[in-house]
Amino acid sequence: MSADLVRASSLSRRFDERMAVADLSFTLGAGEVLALLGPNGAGKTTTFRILAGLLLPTAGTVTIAGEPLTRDTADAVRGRVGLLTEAPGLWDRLTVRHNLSTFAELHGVERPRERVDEIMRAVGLSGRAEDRAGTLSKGLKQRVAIARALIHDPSVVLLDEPTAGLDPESARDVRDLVRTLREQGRAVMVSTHNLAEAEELADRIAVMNTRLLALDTPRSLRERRRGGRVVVELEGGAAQWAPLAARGDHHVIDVESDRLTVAIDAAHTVPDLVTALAAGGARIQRVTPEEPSLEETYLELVRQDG
Amino acid sequence: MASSWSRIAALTRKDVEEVRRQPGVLIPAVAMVAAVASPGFLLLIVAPRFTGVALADPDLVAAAESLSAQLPALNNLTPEGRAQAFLLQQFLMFSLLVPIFAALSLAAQAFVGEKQSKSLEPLLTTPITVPELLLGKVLTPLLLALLLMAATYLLHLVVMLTLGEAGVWRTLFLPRTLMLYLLIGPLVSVTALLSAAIVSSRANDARSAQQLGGLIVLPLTGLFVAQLAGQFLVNTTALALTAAALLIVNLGLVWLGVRVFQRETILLRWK
Repeated sequence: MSADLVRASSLSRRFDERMAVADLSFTLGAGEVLALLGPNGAGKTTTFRILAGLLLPTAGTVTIAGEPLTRDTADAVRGRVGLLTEAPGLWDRLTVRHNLSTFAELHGVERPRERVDEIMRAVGLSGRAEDRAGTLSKGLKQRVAIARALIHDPSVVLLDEPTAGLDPESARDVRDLVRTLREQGRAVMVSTHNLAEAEELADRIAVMNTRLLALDTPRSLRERRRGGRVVVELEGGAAQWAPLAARGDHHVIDVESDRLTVAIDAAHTVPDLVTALAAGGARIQRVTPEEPSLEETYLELVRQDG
Repeated sequence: MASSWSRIAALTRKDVEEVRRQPGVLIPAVAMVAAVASPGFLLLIVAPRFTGVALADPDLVAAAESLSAQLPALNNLTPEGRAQAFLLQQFLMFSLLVPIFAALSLAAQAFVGEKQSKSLEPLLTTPITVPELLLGKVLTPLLLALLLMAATYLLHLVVMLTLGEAGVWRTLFLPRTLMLYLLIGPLVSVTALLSAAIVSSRANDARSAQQLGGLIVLPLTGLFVAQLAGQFLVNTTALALTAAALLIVNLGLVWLGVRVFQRETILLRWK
């Protein structure tokens, strides 16, 4: 990772009475992928539109590849950012090549024909150049839209829900493409509702709900959740031991056959739990710590905010 | 970075390609050429031949004297020829419906089509400015409207050359006719285009945009009916004044259009 390509400081955007984005600050470096998570209406798309130079913030500052975003510099900023919009928005009657070459010309790309060929190869569309966009599958349309966002070789790439509605194979292709963009040294920001995808792709994850709720690595975010869980496997069924396990600071979350899932406040309380069960006569076969999930952390953050 | 004109040209080429791949969008405008030319041809050519009743009544021939003053060569016309030339000039006003209708239908389609395909936001992510976007989107409909108007002119010329009274075709080169086709036609096309563009920003389907923009046709129809009823011709001075008025209206529409076409407005309000 190198210098910051995106720098947002106290970014806010208000629409009449409604605050869409409030006091958002973060940075994004070259070769870094940042996933943006948040419920519907959390301000993710507005954030992308500001970073892409489509909207101006009502407060705060944004710098893209060293260029501060203002009314006067918005055109230049748009030349450095590639935005994949939520809907592909292709011209269905035109061929894939014509869709892309029009955008190449609008961006002032030198040798647009060669660039279109190059980008189609990069996203696996070479064989579909002369197909009408309207005849393509949803996954292929999304590839065209991604190619369009990359046609001018932007250093910052913003992908608004790039895998929404795609079949698993197409979604995997898009994720592979995001990894390639990272390897190419671009700063990539991805908004998604797919937490597993965010965890798989992102170097850091930002959770927002109008304002920024958390920004950290996936691992740190998972571990941020208070306490943890252990699964205790017992001989002769687990249900009879549930009341005993629930004493002290522990809470039984689930009882299933010979397994008790117990919430603990901290790792050092696990020996207390084991001692209590053993003292009560339980024959413990195994105690396994359960890995905290990003989903739980996310839901906890959003719930606390709401 | 691309120049302003290369961005406008890219958008125009894209729109031309869309029309080429969907020629059906031109059918209403092409049909309008026939609809506009037919009444005049029926009255001037077909009716006298089939009924045997001459056009030249004394009032009409007297009214046609004004044409002879503008083009002395018409003095050589027969009375029937003068009557035909006078009526032809009255009906030519109707030709203006062609560029208006073509501009309205194609421009409404161009703007509403972008809204329906959700392609405006990707367009706005490029360095294109709002005036460039507005100009790029109106150029294709304007070119097509002017082409269709030229076709209407050629149709009149061919029909009058082959079926009209001898020498009547020369009235198609009167200053009045040339002003109608070369000055008023393009100006009224721009009025229609800009109106359609502005209305399209608030309409969600091309038809409602066309209907609202169609209000432009009303004054033209009124003028045409007044000409027929009063047996007069709108002269070149009146046409020059009309052109000046249209120019002012068009400048006002450009001013309004640039305000309606704000990037944020397009992004947030155009649904």
